[in-house]
Amino acid sequence: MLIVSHLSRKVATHNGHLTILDDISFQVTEGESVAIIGASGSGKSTLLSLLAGLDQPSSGDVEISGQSISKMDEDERAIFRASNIGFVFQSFHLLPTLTALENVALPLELKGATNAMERAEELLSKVGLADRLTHYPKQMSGGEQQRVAIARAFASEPKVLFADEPTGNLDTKTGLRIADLLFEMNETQGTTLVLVTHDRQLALRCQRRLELEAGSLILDSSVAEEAQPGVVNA
Amino acid sequence: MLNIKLAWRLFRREWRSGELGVLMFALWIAISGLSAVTLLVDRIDRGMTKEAAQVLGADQILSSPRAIDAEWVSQAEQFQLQHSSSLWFSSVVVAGEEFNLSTIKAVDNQFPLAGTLLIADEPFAEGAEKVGAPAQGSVWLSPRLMHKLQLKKGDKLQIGTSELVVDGVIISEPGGGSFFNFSPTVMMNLVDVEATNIIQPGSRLNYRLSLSGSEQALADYAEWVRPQLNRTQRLTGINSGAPALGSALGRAKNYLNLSGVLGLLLGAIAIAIAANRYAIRHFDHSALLRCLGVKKNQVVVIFCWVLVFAGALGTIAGIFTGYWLNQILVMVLADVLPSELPGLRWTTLALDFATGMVVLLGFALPALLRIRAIEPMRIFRRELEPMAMSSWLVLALSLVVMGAILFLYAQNLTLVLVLLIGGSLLMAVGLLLSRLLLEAAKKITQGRSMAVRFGVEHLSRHRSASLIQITAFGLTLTLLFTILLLRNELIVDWQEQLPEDAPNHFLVNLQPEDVEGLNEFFTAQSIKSAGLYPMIRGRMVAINDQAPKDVLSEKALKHNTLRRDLNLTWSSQMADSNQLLEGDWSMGANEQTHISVEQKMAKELGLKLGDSLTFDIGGRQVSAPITSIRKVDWDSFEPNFYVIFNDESLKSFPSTYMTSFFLASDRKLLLNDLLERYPTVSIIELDLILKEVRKVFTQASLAVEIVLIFVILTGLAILFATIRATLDDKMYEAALLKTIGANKGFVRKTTLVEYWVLGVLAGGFAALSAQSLALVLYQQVFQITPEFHGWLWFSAPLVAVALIVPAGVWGNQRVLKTPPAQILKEA
Repeated sequence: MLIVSHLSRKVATHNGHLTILDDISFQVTEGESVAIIGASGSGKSTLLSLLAGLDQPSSGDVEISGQSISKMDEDERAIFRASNIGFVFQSFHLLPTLTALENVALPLELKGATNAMERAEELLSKVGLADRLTHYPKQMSGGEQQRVAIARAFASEPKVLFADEPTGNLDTKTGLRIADLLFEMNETQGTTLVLVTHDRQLALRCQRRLELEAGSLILDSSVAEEAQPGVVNA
Repeated sequence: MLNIKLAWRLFRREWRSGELGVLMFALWIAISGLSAVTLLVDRIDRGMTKEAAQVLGADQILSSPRAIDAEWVSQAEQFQLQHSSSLWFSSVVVAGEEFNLSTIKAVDNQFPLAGTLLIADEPFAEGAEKVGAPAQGSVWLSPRLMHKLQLKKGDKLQIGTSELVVDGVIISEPGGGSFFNFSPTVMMNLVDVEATNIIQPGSRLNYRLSLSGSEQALADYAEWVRPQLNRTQRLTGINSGAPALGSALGRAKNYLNLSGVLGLLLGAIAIAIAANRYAIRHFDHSALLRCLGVKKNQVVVIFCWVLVFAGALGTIAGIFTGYWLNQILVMVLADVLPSELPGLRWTTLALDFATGMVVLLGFALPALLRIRAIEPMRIFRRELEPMAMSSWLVLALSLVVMGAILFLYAQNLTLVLVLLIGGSLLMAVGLLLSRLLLEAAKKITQGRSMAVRFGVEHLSRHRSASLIQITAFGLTLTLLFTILLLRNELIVDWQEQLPEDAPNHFLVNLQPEDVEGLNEFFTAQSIKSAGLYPMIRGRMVAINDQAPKDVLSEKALKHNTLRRDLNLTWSSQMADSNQLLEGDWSMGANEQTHISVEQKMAKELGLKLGDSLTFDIGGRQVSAPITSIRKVDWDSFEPNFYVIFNDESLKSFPSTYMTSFFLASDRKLLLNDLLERYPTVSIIELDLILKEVRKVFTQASLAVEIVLIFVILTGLAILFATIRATLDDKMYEAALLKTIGANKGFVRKTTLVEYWVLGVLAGGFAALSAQSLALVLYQQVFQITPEFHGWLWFSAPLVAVALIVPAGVWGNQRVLKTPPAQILKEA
């Protein structure tokens, strides 16, 4: 489903090249849920944006459903994103001028779907916001905004869902409920889920964890658990 | 199509949320102002042209020494022009023992096409309006001819072999004030001409075809007929008919057009700022759309369409407002506006609409292109600001758009270039100065209270934002002050040109022995005259002893001064309306013969000081070197000469004298007295023409005033819009200040200091640039002598502070009233 091979990302600085990601390789199978964990500055967000085709790697390749997105140009990647990838962000990124319903309908409208509004309403009901359709983001709590964002992410029926610290801006209780929703939706839609977090509890709910440190992949739980079961769970 | 649909949805949603408010407000104000001004200018302009046509008696006159080709007349009909034929010639008319050389004007029943013909029963009385020619067999005479020939109504007058009945006295005739028409007028019916047997081969005749109709038809006809005219035939329009009127109209038009365009530029500044604000507020929006799979160019296309929708709505609203403002203005000013105000032209509105859209896209495009440069990665890393477009590129793009629009409205390349190049240079200087002054302000305020320092430091920390605001305010004020300066100059200039006691009568053909007596008469009657000048007719035959055709170009040979006899004079005094440009004015008697030459003649014939000109005066030749070059105000109603000899140097040639003088309308009967004393003289009455000219000037001044008020109102509205558009940053900062414990007083004081400094800098910038701009415009566009305005340097900063500080403080009220948390959340 998702094949990452020898992925590196370097940026030019005044003191030469800085390596943000160093030779990362792994594979994710269809329907699997994977957490990318690591300390701040370990390269989590960079990895996520490379996987989602928002940024270009310095070397290496990302392949989703057999298509190498690293070899596409920006516009091809945009088209690819529109039908294959969904996003949930830490700070929700809802458009403030649009209602909840319109925010969810947006990706569908961008694809030219005719029943965008009906579909959006359906999704909002699924995330428990049937009575908040015409509310604007600033009239909603953080948890509610993130639920709208989740509904939007699933609107285009993506093959892969990328979530960047989806509970990072929420209190523990709300965070838990959002996480429940995310996994539940993931399961029912059969989507592959890649989420970045430094919340270990959240990471443990994923089938698999990848840990980054200073741009290198230091742990892949699918490998580690076979060798030393219990290390990560401890 | 999908993009348009998406954009339409986006537009509707943004419209609902008020996101497009500032942008549409700027556009609405700019276009309201522009369309009200352009509509008014267009209507007043055409109204004034009509008014001027009254002076000429028609919109255009085609004159020819031979009968006018029947095809030219039928073509005029084809072009839907009204036309009237007349024939002018000189002839001696006889009444009993008396006779006098007169200008006979034989007219048809369509006469006059414009203006008023007033006929009375006795000289200098109030007349009644007439249309058409005198009845067959009868004539109308000018008052002085009635007097000269001792005629009264009902008497007989002989022209050629016909005897005609005097049926009235001409009090006012359109087109009557031609300067070349020295002999008194007899008006007769065109059908009576043949019976006089006066027209013989070799007679000097002036066939005239007067034309009237729509501007387009007149222009089309002129274009059609001009190539067919030979050297003896002329097509005269309003501008060439009465020079003083033409230049006054020209300047008024230039001014009004300029005001309209400057008003639009004011709008453009606000639009640029509002569009930039819109773009910045949509960076995240754009990044999100990219994440959701929208292509780079597609984002721009979508936002472009949003702007088009917003622009169309703002522009249409502006045009409607402008239209109603115009209607209200016309209603309020009905008494003073030209009597026949032509209808609205829809093309003017269409042009305004197109202008609104072009300005919006032209000035918003740089901002939109920044949106295009957004990387989707921004969604994770907010600090990723898109690269600002190269400022050169932005400047170039804005200049091109501005240049195109300026040219569209002003139709004057010099003006456009002056505004663009001058404007860019000024902006560069202004920005540099503002930057230095901002640093200086920081130094000066060291040790002052915390609020003062904080305010100044805030400006200097956000230097580029501050400089943009200074530029925007400065440019707005520059345009306002330029309009104000020009208005003052123009109106003063018109008043000076036509003072209440400007000469309104010309007197010619006075015998030398009568000079002393006339002067005494003038003194006794307290009549102010322009001085008596001898007049000798002479033809220029050589330049530096060579025939003109050997030394001059084809074009120069066509100059007026070579095609006819010149009126030469001598004088030791230079008239007030003349100005010495080169050489030395020493024109005493008993000096070797020398001459002073008019500047334009000198330029066009390539004459310089020391060149010798030879004149043929009644068969004798006189040569004289040029010792001075003068500028002559041809618009002044005084005797003006191309060539003036030194005092008494042409005394040996026969001469007559001429002068111009002012006579109030209630003293016109004195003319009879004058004519009785000096029977040889001819008097040309210009008072009625002057009255018309003055009326046009008054209307032009009024139009200028109205437009000025309009532009000022537009400017103020835009100033407020600009402040509103730049408020976001300030709100955020103030909210932060309040969060960390600053009280309302502190926030208010820093705001006050900030706007105060902004105001002073913008005002200084405006003073510098308005002065420079006005200087160039005076010379290049309005031909007025430039002046230095010291007061501007004090008043501009004062006005700027008075406008900007209250507006800024008012805008910031929201910051003080709104809980900081809400502002921070919205940001």
